[in-house]
Formats: sequence, C-alpha cells, structure tokens
Amino acid sequence: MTAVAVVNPAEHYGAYLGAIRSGDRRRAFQVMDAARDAGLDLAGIYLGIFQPALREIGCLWQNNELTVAEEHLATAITQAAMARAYERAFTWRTDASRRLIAACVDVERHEVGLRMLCDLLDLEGWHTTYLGATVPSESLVAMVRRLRPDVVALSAALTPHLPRLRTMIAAIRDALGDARPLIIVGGRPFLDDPSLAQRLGADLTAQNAVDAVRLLGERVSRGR
Amino acid sequence: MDPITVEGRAAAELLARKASFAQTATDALYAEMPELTDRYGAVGRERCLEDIRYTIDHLIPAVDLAQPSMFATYVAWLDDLLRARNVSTREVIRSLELIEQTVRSELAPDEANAVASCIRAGLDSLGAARKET
Repeated sequence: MTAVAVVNPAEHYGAYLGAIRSGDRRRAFQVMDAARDAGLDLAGIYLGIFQPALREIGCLWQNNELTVAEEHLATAITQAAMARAYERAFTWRTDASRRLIAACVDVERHEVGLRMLCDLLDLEGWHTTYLGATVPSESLVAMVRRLRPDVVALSAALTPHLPRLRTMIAAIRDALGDARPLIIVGGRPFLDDPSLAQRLGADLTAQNAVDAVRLLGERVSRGR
Repeated sequence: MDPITVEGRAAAELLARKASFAQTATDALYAEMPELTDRYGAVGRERCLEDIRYTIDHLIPAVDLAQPSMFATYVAWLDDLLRARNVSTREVIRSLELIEQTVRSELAPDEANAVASCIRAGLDSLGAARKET
C-alpha cells in the first residue's frame, strides 16, 4: 500500500455496522464517505470497516439476531459501498502488465473477499478480471487458456467446497501444464489452516487481501 | 477424493450415500427422542434432516483430507448456531453419535474408522465448550 492510514478505522466501524445491520444504505454510504474524507485509504476501508462488519453480521445471523434476508441486505449494501469507494479511489492506468483472474469455486457464493483483493490489486497497477461467485470449472479453464494470466485467485469460504476447489486447481494445471499461472487460494478454511493451500495443489494463500497483494507483488514481477 | 486412500474412499462413500445416511440418522434420533416431534413438529423433522445432511457435507472434506480439526471447528460453530435457536447441545451430540452409528453399520470398518475419528473430534469440541461455560 502506498498511502499510510492516519485514521483509526475503528472509529467508523461501529457506525457502519449499525447502518448495515438496520439495512440503511444511505447511512452506510454516509459513514463510508466520512471515513474516506477523514483520510482512510481503500485498504483501510475494506479491511478496517467492511470486513469486520460483515464478519460481525455473520455472527449475528449465527446468534439468531438477524435473518438470512437481513444478512443478504447487509452484504448487498456493502457491495454497493465497495463500488462507490473503489470508483473514487481508482484511476485507470495504462501500464498494467500483470494480470490476474479471480473466481469463486463453482458452488461458492461468498464473493466479497475476492472482490476486495481484485480492487486492491487494481490500485497497485494490476489488470484484474473478477468473475465473482459460482464460476463453472470448464469455463474458467477456457478463460485462463485464452487470457494467460500471471495469477489465478480462487476462493472457497466453506469446507464442503474444498474438494471442488482441488478439482478446479487440477483442471487448470492439466490444461496449461508448464505454462500454468500461479494459483492463490483464500477463504475461511485457509485462515484456520494455511497448510491446506498446498495440500489442495495451490501455490499460496494469505491471511487477508492486503497480505495477498504484498505476496503477489513479490512473486510476480512487472513487465512479463 | 483419492480412491487409493481409505480416507478418499470413505469420503466418496459419504458423498454418494449422504441422503440415505442422513435419513437413517434422523429416523433414529426421532425414534429415541419422541419429544422432539412435540417440540418442533413435522417442520422440525425436515429441518433436522437438512441439518444432518449439512453436517455430512462438512464431514466429507474433513474425512477426505484426514483433518479431524476441520470438522471440530464446524461442530463448535453448529452448536453455537443451534443453541441460539433453542436446540440443545445434547441433541447435537446424539445426532453426531447416530451418524457415527449409521456409518459403522454401512461402511467397511477401515472407512468407518476414518469417519469416526472426525466425528470424535467434533464431539470432543463440544465437551471442551461445555467445560468452559
């Protein structure tokens, strides 16, 4: 990250959580705008406000304090807020040489973390192709063949999706052989146990999107 | 799922026979605890079947990867979730034991052992949680 956050995101986190918990999009946007105006950068907003707020929303659902509908609303508001924050942070760069394709495994619907990674990489001058939730393996492999990215990022939030993730990684390896991209995986199971990444055939994992940006920056050189 | 390893075979069996195992375990749970029907009704029984299927979904990768701690994490999460919805830890424990019993009667002993070690880790996680509270 280039900018150092001088603002403590915790000051804004509580207000943001309150807004999405009550389904108030307007208020959520106001809180996010205020955080940005106070000097918080995109990574600070994503990892300091949105990510902990969505995790807390998940806990509230688990504790039966929110319905699934309310949880989905909180997620939808946050996705809209992300688009708003990103639009204001991003400037198009013509020198993007490193390319990444990002997809959730074919049965996975938790897509916010992967999108955070793509947005933050864009700001670092990567060219990212974000495919979102539930991407069928065959069509992903076809796109990887066509675009030849440096990196494929795959996400699985729930352990029942891990066997499919392994199959997807194997399909990419089989299709591209020696020319295969670096494969990074993420999601809750890898936070609990990072060694799973290699067991499933991936090259690396990271604890959060900022770590992933740093790791990928180290592993993939510019100008390839 | 690697067909060469016992874990891979056990996971594949669980996946292929998930629906029937879940039905057997649910029927056994309701036969043992007839009060569940009074408390939760027919809808509750459907939910129970769904929950047990979901539990087997989470058992499969833990068995496949020989990673009992993965299932233990799920069981602790499930217990929190169900207690918030007035389902007791005792029912969670019994449903896990009945899944194990079903698996032992249906799978080859080595495969059943691979599954049971994950279920035991799940049960242990509940024991630890109960001591804390």
